[in-house]
Amino acid sequence: MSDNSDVEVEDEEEYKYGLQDDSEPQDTRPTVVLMGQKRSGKTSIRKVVFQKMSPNETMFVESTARITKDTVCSSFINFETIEFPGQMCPFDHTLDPVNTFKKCGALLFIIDAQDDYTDAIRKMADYFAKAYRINSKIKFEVFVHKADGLTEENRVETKFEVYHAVKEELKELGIKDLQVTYHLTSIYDHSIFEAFSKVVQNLVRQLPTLERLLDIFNQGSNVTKSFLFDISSKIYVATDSLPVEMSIYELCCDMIDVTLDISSIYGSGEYGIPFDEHSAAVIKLKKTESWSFYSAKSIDSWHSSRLCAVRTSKSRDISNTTSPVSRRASKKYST
Amino acid sequence: MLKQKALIQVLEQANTNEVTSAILFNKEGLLLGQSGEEVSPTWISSIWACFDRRDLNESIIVMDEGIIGIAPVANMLLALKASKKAEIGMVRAKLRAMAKYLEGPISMIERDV
Amino acid sequence: MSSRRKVLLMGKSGSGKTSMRSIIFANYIARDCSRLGPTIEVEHAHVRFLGNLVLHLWDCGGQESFMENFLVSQKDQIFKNVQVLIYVFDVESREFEKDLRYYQSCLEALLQNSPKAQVFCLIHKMDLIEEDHREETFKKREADVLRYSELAARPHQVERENAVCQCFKSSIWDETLYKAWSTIVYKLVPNVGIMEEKLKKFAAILDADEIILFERATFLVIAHAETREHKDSHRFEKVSNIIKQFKLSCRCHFELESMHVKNSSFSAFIDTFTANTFIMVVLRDGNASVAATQLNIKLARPHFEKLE
Repeated sequence: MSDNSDVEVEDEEEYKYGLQDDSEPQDTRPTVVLMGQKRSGKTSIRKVVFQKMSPNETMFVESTARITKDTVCSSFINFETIEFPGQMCPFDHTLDPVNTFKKCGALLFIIDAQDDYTDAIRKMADYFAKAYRINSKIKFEVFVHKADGLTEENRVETKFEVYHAVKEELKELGIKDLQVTYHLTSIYDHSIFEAFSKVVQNLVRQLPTLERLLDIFNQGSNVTKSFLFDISSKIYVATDSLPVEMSIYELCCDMIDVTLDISSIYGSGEYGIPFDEHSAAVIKLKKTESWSFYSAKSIDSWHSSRLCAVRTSKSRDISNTTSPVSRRASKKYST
Repeated sequence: MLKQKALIQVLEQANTNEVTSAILFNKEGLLLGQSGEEVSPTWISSIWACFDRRDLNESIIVMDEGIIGIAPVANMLLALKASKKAEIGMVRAKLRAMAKYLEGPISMIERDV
Repeated sequence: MSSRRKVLLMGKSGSGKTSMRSIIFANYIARDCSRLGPTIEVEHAHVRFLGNLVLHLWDCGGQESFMENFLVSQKDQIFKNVQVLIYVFDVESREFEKDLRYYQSCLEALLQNSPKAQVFCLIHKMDLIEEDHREETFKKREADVLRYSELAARPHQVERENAVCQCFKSSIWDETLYKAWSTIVYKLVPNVGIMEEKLKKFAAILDADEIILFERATFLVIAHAETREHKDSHRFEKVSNIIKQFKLSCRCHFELESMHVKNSSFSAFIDTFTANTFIMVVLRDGNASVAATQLNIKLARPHFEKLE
């Protein structure tokens, strides 16, 4: 365990953790802009990811008529989402597009994969081009959404089709070096959380540092994979440098759900908050002989990021080994 | 069965004469009961594992900041932590007495598992 | 020695009988149920529950032609030796009156052939009703069902605790399904009383606030003991639902063995228990020893194995 002291030797002063520095005025907070045709699922995505709504309840969600802004804020992620209704053009002069897209960190365009998307793609290419001219640093992301309704082959095909269509459209508009990332998503599985994680990670400035810290943590304590999660949205802010296996990520999401749900039944104290600085969960799984561990030491407030570690070797007491480390790590991150 | 409250009461009796805490834990380093200051059973079980041979009966480790005494109880381990002002003889005597007292009940529980 | 229980599952076509059976006993997830086709005549399913209790489920197709047959030519065959009738109503049914009349006929047939059977009615697909109106809609439907139950029972003059049945609201999308089925199964499990006595003693030794015993495959609650009152009376089915969802979502790669969740005010341990059960122990102490609790669970195991 002495290896873990490496974590502490890191010079703390050099890195600022969290974006809530006093020196930074609040409105430099990056924004994630959501766009898409009417009924493409923009509001449902926001409700499922950030408000923990269960997917089947989204059918009662009414279509959004006005621009909706939301702030998502915890220790590492701090951004604003802006949702533009499908019928509204975000580049209308009255909406001050220059200001909106100057601050924009990521632009998500949601395409309903179960619908005819030719119009959507034309509109999207146009919006992307306009936004790109205002701010070339924006990350452009396309969610090929409602993928749950498609068969396995159909999904890949659709994604490919969208990719080519967008490329064509952008070419016609004379835009060459605009990078677009494509995600197949559905609110009925973990793909939406995974995709949103990727989007958000692009906005986390400390990402390389966090990645290194997690690597060091893994080495020091025989952990095979660790993630730093935002509990309330199941977005992972960072992970170590090993590749992410989708099944492990899904497992972590499910563990977060179980932990939150059980804690809210038995552990919500006087104020009804199920999470506090002693929150932790260990889940042991059979068959693969794997131990899975998920420590939930709070970093600042209850909805903030936690550490999640999965290990495969059978070990001595994992909870005791890992919790002091994560506690130490969390202490550090919160400064 | 093991009543945690009762175990803690027994362990508390060791905490006099500069002995600050007493803990019982299994060899995997998982705590069964503890009294006094917080001590991590994981470190101690690691230390024990380093020395462990069949005939190891107890180990007393004297450090700058204090003393730790470890002794096996059935298949588990008992550890006492004392400040540096403590007398080594006293720590050892307490360790032996406590281990002897717990040996019977703990081995009975372990037999049933 | 195994005991068999005949359980009739009836209700209009499309009311959701096969879906709920598949979720509870065949590990379907709610989303997969849309793939199920309608049931033709009667589908028989034998479900081993708690090891030696066999539930013989008669999933009766709800189309009108089948219903007529059940009530006339196959009457004896269907309604003889029934222990439990579960009648499912679609809460959004456009012909609720007609559904009620069918229910009345089925109940009459049941009372003639199996006067001791117990009857449970599920007002199903509650998720289709907006949350604010659920309770009110349910109350209305429940009153109707009870009225028709009385109508069916009156001519028989038998002791009719059964006909004045128990109504549950249910939906495959939330824990209400577990509430309904747990209550039903609870009535069928032998030894529940002794089990709960033992659980109580165990809770006292552990200083636990609550202990719950779950059937291993379905995660339905079969027995529980509480030493301290808990404000949430729906917690059992909630926990069933939570763990079952977790088990299902990770079943392709992993199998759950045990779980420990805590914060500063509680510790909960979920562990594999006897061959047919899982146990959950809840302690008020956030620092409760994991090793000691798990040791005690291990020690309690043989005492409960004897009861099965």
